[in-house]
Amino acid sequence: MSYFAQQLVNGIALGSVFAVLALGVSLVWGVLDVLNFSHAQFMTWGVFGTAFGISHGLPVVVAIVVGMLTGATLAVIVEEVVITPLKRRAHVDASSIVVATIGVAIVLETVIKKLTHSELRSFTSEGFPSGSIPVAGISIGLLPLAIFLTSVVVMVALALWLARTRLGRELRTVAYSRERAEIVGINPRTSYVIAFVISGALAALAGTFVGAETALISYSSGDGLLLITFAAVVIGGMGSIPGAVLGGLVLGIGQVLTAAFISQSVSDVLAFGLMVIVLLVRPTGLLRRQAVSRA
Amino acid sequence: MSSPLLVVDHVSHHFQGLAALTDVSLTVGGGEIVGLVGPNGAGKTTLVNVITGNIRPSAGKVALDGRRISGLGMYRVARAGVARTFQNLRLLEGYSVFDNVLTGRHRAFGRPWWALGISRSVERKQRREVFSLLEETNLLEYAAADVASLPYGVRRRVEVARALAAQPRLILFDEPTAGMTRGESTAVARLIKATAESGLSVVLVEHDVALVSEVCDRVVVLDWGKQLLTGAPTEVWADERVRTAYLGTASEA
Amino acid sequence: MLEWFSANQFFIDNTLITTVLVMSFFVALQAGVFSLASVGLMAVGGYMTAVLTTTYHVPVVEGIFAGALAGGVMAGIFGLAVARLSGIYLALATFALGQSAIVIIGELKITNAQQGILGIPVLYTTAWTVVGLLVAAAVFEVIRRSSHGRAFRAVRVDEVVAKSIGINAGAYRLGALVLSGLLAGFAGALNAHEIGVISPDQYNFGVLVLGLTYAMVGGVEHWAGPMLASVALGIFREQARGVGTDIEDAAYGVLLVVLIFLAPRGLGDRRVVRGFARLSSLVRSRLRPPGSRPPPPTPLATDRSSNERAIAGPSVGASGAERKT
Repeated sequence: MSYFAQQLVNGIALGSVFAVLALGVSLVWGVLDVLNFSHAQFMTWGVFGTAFGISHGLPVVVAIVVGMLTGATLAVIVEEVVITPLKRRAHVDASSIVVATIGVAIVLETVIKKLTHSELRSFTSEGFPSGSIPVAGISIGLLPLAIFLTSVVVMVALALWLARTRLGRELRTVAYSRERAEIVGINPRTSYVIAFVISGALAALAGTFVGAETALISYSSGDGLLLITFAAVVIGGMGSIPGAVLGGLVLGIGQVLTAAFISQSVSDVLAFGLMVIVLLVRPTGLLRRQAVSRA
Repeated sequence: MSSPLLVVDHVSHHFQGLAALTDVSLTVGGGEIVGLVGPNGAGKTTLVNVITGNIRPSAGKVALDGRRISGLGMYRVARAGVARTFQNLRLLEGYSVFDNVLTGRHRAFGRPWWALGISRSVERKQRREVFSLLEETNLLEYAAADVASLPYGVRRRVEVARALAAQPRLILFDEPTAGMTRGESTAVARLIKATAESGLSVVLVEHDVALVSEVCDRVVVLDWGKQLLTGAPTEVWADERVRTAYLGTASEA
Repeated sequence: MLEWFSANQFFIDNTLITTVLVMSFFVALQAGVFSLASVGLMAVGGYMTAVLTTTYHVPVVEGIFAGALAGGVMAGIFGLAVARLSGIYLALATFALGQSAIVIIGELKITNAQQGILGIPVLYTTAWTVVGLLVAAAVFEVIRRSSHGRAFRAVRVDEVVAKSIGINAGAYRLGALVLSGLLAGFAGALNAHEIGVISPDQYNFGVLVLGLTYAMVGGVEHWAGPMLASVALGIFREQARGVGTDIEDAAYGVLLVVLIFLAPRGLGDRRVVRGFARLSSLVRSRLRPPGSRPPPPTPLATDRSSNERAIAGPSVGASGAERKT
């Protein structure tokens, strides 16, 4: 029983990472109709930003902010240079923009690879919570706990921001319908930028989580997570914030539990398998109620 | 008169809690032109979508020449001999008028799929027929032009030509003269009358009162998804309920 | 000349096999099916022939046929499952299916899991790939000139319109996917026999990106586009090899982005072709000595009958006189 609880805790922590990543992707998808393949790069650059801050003596929390700023800045650059100009053109459909983001991802990965000389660097665990505390007979790692709690805070903050602030509501309106937003006088451009800023910052944060957990970072840190992130977004519902969280948690817990109790192989296929099932049975995802466009 | 070609039998359609259509029935005989009118949102396009198989009605059925077509799905209904134009004008952008209309001719190629494009003579024959069609619809001079570059009135005509190219038995025109000049509308009216004279049945969704009066044998009036009235054009326009439905209250004007 | 061929054998074979993969992407894209399953299907084809020829000692030629067939069948199964989806959802679903296939292959005992299969008979000749590509080209051309080609195009550009014309869009999409699977399986099988080794990590995201890029460069209008693109870019990459893979990769990414900006429908895009045609007629008119006959009007499409060219000619309003029978 305690093994199960242990793994469940691990799963929740992993799920939190996925959820934070998925939030960013879902937000951008909802607001811009773009599935951003360069999201993993925001993550990688972000964690390197954090590492940079730490190595220059900044306190961990400040360094994390630096990392998030790195991610956010990179995201804005991508949005302004590539995404929005493409969206303005007539003959470009969503699939083409996706391919463009693949190109961006390649460029960004090559740059960070060059900048870090393809090195695998260690990510210090100093300043991060470590060790574990016993709770009801189970030993819960403090780092996973911190990750989970931080994620919760972030998600709640985002949800509140979207619901309560003017900018947040604008974002939701644009996500619902760009035309309606324009009719009401909202400039979708602002929403685009903000969506990307948030997604970049969140990706960087998730990257820091992963770096702290694995103690290693490299230019390819983000790669493996990209596809899982997409799976989480699809499962939870494209463009749905609570959906992204749900999808992330489902996948995180699912992966850890299936690896522990069934087999590693099932765990590997889980993300793809669930994604396919959701796409076939309920393409809008578990939480989204709005119909998905079919053509 | 023989049995009607199209029978719409007590069709209703609900969509997300709204009653888009409620108990609508109409018939169209061979060579008849039936107008479908009503204020915006009355359900005209929904009815067209039901007839063409784009939507499966919640209740009721549609039959073409005695054979049930409701619930068949769009391409099967098209194969049965139903063609349409779209309210928001859908053409294959980036391609020529000729290509657009030739694509409409798909049904006529009729080969089994495995015979592929082996028969050049069939291809040539169909192309010649499309030329004739373009000539009849006064589109020949635009044949090579990209539809995206053409004026609105011409684009509408291309869509009509595409519908005609399918050699259908029933055509549904969804606001074909929207945004046209008087001259263009008259040309379309002539075209519609000519197609009916050659035996095609027509359902014409229109807002242009003069056009409807001139061209239609009968008119069906819809309002809020319900059938207000069916009758000859003059009857219909004179009816109080119809006038109210169109003019609405003062604040809507 | 022959020396060059034998010296660059590997590069040529590789480029040609890549071209087969690219055509796999193409045939799906031209029907509007944004399928990312090709790499997974390639793995299916490669493993099918690898297992057949090593464990069951099936002759290589039959193995390759089986590989192609396996790709097609698998694609058909995928297609039936994801038939209703389109756009990004289809892309994700096909990608997931393709990836799942690779992951599952990497877990099975019969495929020797992650270690892969060694010692596949290297009885490969370039001729096979060339023949395969020629057959594919012939099939594509026949399709292109027929009502099926127009149907594919209509399904791609506007599925609702296609259906309203009587085109069975679902069947065409499925057909395109199956053809895509056949080609991908064929590419995988050829690859297995060319290298002699197969393992799951050969079929990675990088291969997907490569195939997709080339296909998008080539465009969906004409099958020659992706074929030429694949060969040209293959040569480009080979030449650029000296510069270092990182810069090459980055240049690749930039190329992709620039391409989407300039020609979102690929180089076969009509606007690009028209721009090209206008440019060349401009050049021709400058080169012609004064007083000679004006040039014939620039052909605007590649599948016209001669009548049409006449229609597009100088006497554009005299429709009656121009119409030939």
